[in-house]
Amino acid sequence: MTERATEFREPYEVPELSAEPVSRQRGRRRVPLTLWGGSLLLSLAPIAAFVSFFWTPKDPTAQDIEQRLSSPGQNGYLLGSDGFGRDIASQLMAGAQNSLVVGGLGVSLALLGGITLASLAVIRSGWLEEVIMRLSDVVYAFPVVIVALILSAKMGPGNLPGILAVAILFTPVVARLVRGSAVPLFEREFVLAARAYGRGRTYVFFRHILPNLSALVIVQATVMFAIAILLEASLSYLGLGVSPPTPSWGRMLRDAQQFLSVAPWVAVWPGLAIIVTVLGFNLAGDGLRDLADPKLHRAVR
Amino acid sequence: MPRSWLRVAGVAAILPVLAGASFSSDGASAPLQVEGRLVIASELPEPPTLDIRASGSTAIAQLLIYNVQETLVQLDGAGRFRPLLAESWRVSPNRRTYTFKLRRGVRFHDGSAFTSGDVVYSFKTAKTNPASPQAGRFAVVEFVKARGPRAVQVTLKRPSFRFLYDMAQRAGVIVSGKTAGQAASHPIGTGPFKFERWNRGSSIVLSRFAGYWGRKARLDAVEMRYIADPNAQVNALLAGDIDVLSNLRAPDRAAQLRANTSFTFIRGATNAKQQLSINVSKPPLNNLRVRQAIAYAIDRRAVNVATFGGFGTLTGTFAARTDPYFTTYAPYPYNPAKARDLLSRAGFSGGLDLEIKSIRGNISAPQAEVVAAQLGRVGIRAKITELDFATWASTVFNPSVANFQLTTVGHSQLLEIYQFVSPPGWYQQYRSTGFNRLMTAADSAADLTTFTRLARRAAMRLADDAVTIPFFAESTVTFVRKRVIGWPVTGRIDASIDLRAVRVAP
Amino acid sequence: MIGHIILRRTASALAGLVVASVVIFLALSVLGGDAATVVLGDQATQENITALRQRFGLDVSPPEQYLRWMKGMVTGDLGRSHLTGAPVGPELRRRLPVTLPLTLLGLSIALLIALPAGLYSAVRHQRASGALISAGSQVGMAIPVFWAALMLSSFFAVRVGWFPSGGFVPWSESVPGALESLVLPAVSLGIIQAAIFTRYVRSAILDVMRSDYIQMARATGLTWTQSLWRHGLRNAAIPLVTVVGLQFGVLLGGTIIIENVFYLPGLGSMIVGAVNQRDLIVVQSVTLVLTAIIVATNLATDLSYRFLDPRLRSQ
Repeated sequence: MTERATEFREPYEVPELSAEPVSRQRGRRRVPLTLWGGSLLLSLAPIAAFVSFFWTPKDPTAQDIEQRLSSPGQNGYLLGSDGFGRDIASQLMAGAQNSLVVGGLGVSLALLGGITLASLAVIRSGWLEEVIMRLSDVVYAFPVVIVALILSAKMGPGNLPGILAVAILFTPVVARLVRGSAVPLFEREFVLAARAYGRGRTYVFFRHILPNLSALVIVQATVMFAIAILLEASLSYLGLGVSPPTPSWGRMLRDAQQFLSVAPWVAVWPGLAIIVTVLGFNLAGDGLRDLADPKLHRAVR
Repeated sequence: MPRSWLRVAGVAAILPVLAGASFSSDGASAPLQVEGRLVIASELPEPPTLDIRASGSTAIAQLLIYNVQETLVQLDGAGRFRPLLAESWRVSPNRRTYTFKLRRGVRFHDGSAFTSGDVVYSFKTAKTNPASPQAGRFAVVEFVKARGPRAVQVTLKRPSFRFLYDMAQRAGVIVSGKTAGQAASHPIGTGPFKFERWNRGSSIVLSRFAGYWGRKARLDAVEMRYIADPNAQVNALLAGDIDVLSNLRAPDRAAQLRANTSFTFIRGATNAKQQLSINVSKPPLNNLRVRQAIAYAIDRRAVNVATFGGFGTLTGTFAARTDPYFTTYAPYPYNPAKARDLLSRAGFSGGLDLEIKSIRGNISAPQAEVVAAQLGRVGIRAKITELDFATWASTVFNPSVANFQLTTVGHSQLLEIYQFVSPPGWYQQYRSTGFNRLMTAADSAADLTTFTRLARRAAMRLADDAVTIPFFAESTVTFVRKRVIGWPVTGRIDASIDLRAVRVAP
Repeated sequence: MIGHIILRRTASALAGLVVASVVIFLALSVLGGDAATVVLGDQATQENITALRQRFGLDVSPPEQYLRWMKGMVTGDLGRSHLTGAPVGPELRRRLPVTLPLTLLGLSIALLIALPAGLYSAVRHQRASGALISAGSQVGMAIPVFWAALMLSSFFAVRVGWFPSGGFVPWSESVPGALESLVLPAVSLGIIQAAIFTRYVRSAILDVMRSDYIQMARATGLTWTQSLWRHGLRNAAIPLVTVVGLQFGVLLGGTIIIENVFYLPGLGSMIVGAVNQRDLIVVQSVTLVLTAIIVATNLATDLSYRFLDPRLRSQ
């Protein structure tokens, strides 16, 4: 739900990229605090997910009705247990897998689709560019939740509607971003030089232009990843996510709602997990943007 | 803060309020502000329609049966038949013909008189309407005839013990042909309450019917609210917004409510039987050993605690205390070791993969989770597929489709054991000539004792065959504000809450 | 001139809406199976499917289905739910009085928080207090809206009982009661949105702070706060209005989720209920209505944006 328009001051304003191609940048820029902090936070989830493949404090799906709703620290449950006696800490770790899968696949598909579309538009030019502009205008403000709901109605519950919703909605956005940033680069000296060598537009696009956009693309990727994680949590909360007993942060919150008065911590932990991870991606994205183009934010520092 | 800011703030705050207030003249008349008004929070989802003869929704039965719409006979808390719209009845010696003498002076809510024609109409349309979920209950009826304006004769194809039970539940509801068409939005009946208003998405309001044939209702009005969130129901009770919490669905809050002296705690029996149903036609579930293994693997006490706060009554057969043939017989107590042993003897020592279909938004869903974990402990890997109710009803609960292996579900009508008679043996495809013979004999029994004996044997046979693994029979966990007097403490027949004797002390 | 712009923009918005309707229709009624196949599942016989198709009106060609649906949307006949047979239109109209006020209330609360917060953190951007608000908005953006709702509900509804934890009292029954039902939901929505808006307000105000006319205002002796309130906010309003327009869709998405947390009988719970029940006909119509609301809001902000900024009036 906390989808952000990009951080640019006006929509679609593309920041000026550095005057020199990436390969020739000199000196080391100071890595902003946001990047450090954000990367730290966002790495918690993948680490937890990775570790959970090999080890979790207890089996995340193992039930123990006798010990249900144990408070944190009681009965050997680090963060407490849920309504079926399952260990919340273990479920958080295993649930990270699910969130990251949705985020990873959704973002990858969006990037793939967007870059492909942009490359076609740039290399061919013509009507495709118009189409991308119109399309991204339409989808830009459209809530990803509704797209995911439509897909769920058709496909049934699971992770796929969320993944596809992110992919579908953000492909035009990525395409527009890449295309918009690529076009001015075609006028740069290093590109003109390559063209003088006889290189075709395709070669130039992939070999010279795209690498220069990598920072931009990664920043956009962090934004999309954050949105994808929130979307997966929302869908699971509504009962449309992955089926039990596969752990999912959103479904943990759904199950926790009935215990708000007797065991509120069951709802606190999964929420914190989501916040920490999404915050991590947001901060990292901010930091990367600052790193890539401090000019943009120099005035506001 | 600058004045302009206050102005902006004021506008921003007022705008949505105005928007909302513009809707305040929508539809309804002024709310009923009467003293003797009872507000109940139902535990069931709001019914999609108010036509009890067209929908299987339990919420309709809960509110309308005996209150708005009546049957010829009523079942009381002790399981005895009492006269309602039928003042008396006679059964022929061959037990195939029932002659009902109808009460005189009964009026429908629209003022028209109740006659035998209405009974004939109700039964005939229920029997012949293919969309009616109750059509099957009339399969045993040969014909229905009016014998003058105050008597109806029903002739059955063969003696049937369950016939009268069915007539006391939703199948036997009497409507008038003149007003049956509007039943979906404005049901007309003969009961002590008449339908007043349906605030969709919120509540249904009934008011006292002054022209009722019997003792007038003590309440002026009843509002049944449909608050989906169990916590919100409890909070509404604590806040004084509602007077009765029909059935607590947040069992973990029971302790808090019981400690509160403003409320009376009433635990009532229901016929809602929660269980794991097995499709015995699908291999390997057609193997008795496999089913027995599943039965031994289930710890029903844990299911009761985890999903119903421990308020259910554990059962071992497909029966609840309100069924006459109820027995405490339980052939498969929790024994995971035995389950594993049986499984390997059936040839599945390496484990087995099964699928449990559950109903979303229903107690069936958490029950499936608990069951899956319990089955997992004995080597049965159970995958859970949650379905919405409509899909579940059309693909699992439908005997001609029966696309499932295992499903968790609750069944709430009386004498439902009849459903297992084959063909088709209900949606579980149970085929047993022995069971059929027992049920036929029971249905033709001459008296209650014989019926009970035979039906009980059939129930035990069903339990032995591990066709359905019962968990527990639900109790109603009801909390009533102290000033409410006369709330029924006996079991609910077909989920209905009988409000006739309820009143509110000043 | 202005009239010309309004007309063009409106036409463009309508065109967009038509395109959206085609996409929605394709997604739900054509691609990958129609409502009948979804309802009956993969075990159905061909005759069952054909019979159900007829009942749903799916036995005609897709273009004709689309035209019928569109005609219905315009005339107010939004089809019937396949489950209950109840007409969608009246149900939708019943639920608007929940969703629209809730969304507006959420937006108001968000702006009421974000304007002063953004202003303050811009003015104090070199101090700790300003940075704190900035950090707070970063965290706020990361909070799932339903978690905020659960936490607020857990304290204000369950613990102290000031507000209901669910359900909606209809406006026709009691205006204060309806408001009470909407407070916690709107605050949940508003807080998260406020976090987003705060950042834009802050950024816009910081820009304004560098501008000449503000320096002039300061030179006449006004404090930062005074000069910004008097002169700066109007300029900050432009990007803010744009952002509000962009975020309205997101806000509506949040409303959909919030209605399910608080069991409010609005469009959000209607569409989620329909999705849960695979009631494609209802999903289709409700989605189009939601899309129309978003398009209309975008159009309104687009037009007001041009009105606010005199430089754009002739465009």
